[in-house]
Amino acid sequence: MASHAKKARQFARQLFKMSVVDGVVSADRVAGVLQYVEKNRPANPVMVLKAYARFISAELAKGQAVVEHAGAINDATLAAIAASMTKKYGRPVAATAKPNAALLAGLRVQVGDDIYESSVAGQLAALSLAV
Amino acid sequence: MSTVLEQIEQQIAKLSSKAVKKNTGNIRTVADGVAKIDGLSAVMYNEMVQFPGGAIGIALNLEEDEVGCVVLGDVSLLKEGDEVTTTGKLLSVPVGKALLGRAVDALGNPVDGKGPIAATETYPVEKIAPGIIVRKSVSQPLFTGIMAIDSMIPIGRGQRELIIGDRGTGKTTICIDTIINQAKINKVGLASGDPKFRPVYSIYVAVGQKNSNIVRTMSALEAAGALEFTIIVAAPAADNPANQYLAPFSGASMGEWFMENGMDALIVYDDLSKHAVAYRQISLILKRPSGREAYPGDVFYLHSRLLERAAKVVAIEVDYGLVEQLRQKFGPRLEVIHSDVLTIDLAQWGRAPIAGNLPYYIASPILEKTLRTDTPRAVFLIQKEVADRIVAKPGTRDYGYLTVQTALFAEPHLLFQVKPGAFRPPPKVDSAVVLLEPRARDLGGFIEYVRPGAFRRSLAAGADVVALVSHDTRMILGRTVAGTLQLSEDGKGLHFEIAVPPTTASRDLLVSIERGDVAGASFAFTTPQGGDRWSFKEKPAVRELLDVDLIDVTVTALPAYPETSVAMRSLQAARPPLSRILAGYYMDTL
Repeated sequence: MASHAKKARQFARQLFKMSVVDGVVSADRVAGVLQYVEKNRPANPVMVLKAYARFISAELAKGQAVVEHAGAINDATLAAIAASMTKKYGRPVAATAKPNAALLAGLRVQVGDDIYESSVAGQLAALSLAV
Repeated sequence: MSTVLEQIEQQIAKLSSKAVKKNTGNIRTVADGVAKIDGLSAVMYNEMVQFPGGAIGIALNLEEDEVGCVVLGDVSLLKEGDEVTTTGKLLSVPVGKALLGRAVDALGNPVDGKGPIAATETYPVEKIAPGIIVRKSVSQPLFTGIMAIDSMIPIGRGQRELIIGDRGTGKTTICIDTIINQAKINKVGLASGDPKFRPVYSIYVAVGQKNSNIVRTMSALEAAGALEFTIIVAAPAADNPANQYLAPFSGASMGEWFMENGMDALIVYDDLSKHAVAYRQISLILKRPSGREAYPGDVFYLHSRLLERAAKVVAIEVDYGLVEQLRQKFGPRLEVIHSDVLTIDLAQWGRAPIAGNLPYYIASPILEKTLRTDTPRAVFLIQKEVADRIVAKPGTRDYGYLTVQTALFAEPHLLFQVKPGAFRPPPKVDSAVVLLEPRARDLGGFIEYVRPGAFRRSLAAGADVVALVSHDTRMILGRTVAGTLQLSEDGKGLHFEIAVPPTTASRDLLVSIERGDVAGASFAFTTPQGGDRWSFKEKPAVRELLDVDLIDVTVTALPAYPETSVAMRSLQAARPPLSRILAGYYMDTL
């Protein structure tokens, strides 16, 4: 079982590498890969496709700054965040707004694995852990 | 109540409105106490990670697309998709005297029902053990109280001792008796009021034992009045393998606190074979190669990491105010010497690494002293201007005496710059950190040192010495009997000056020297009877040259002695044919 999962992950990684052109996920390549998998089914197609989806979503998340906000946010702020993140990571990062009332106030920006927490809810959580 | 409020207020004050960066991941699977996590791209090996619900984990497997974490806490509360964040901290345990008389688990939490432990300090569980060079040799005995051992195979403080034997032969009993004996000695020593008396505190780490055995040991120590000098770190058989794996490292950290605070500690790992079994379990659940019917290959590295811990740091400071501050800040764990570093013999600490923050006006003499000390490496924070001069390339404005002097003995590396804002009060200039790595002197299985005065007899006798290029007699640059080669020996080494002939070949050579292509010097000699001394105690062997007959000095691009240098005198260089080559072979001191 374990070796099946490992092989499926390795195959998915190969497919993922083929889907990336100049460091950016190419929609055409992804469509081509899916067609190939449809025609030539690998040993564990579900496992392979799940791993493939995970790799692609992780890569897409690196180019996406999800800005969670409790109050109103304007386009200028989003553009400023996108510009700042693009400069910081050295690759194009687009910002998208996502309302989240649970933050109480402030912002929470997620780019890939990194989260920039500047919200009241985050501060309170840090306080509850520290005390 | 007011203290609670103060604590909360302090925490609030610490919280700033700045955005906090966190690296996160999501749990993919949780099984056997191990969580596989997607993300956490910035996690460090052995870093603590925070799970929801307060549980923590240690990142032990860093793979290409996932991280394997051992969970220290209730795994049943975790589920797929839970967010995990890095903490930026290595796993730490509480340390200090507050732990004496207590039984704690691998994370330092009390397990004896005697309430919370008032420890104020924490130490990281994993520390890099220092090399053997910086260790003090074993000089003081540690009495086990068992006459057969103390008389025939005595144990010293700083020594490691392995007890092996069949089941039920009394291995643990020897350890417990030793702990009890330390307690007896401590009581007598402390009662005597002798200020020089150094008590020995004991740490008993029980790995993979039955709880009943641990309780019996505690009772035995309590009955003997030894528990007040003892910390028990318990990771019983029922504990998860991660805790059993960590317990000896936690115990080592607790022991290091005593060591660094001017006390002695005896640590008993009971036993390391069960620790190896726990590590095997960890390897199995992390899908690491565990070894067929054996232990994982790195179990030896695991145990060597554990058994090699302990170190000593000495600080030398001339400013009395700073000496006091250092003593207050670090207490007895840092030996602070109030003296001028230029007057101290650095060789007394053996071949130890040297680090320092050097004031501008005495940077050169300290550097010179350090370069003449046998050290594996030296790191200095100095003014950027001085650092630039140390690492300057030939032909540049900064290239000068300091560059040549440093290059004689060491290979300098400019590590990074430090801005004025890093200091209080901020200076007006930038600083930099330089690393000096002594050049290798292995001459093929042995190291050669030239003792001061080795050339004295040869020079006084007016030996006929020639100056050559790469020991080639077809190109003679000068000769002592002709007055074109001047030789002298000073405190630094053999110094020679050559009045170079006005030939095309000589001019070509001067250009090569100026460019830095030819930068070394060498010499040929014969050794008369008793002129050298060999020592085979160290590896590589050491040869000391005490008295040599000098035959030639030579300018070469590939010197046998990397500490040599050759340079051109700039003033004369501008006026050929009176060009001179100034060179020197600098001696090492043993």
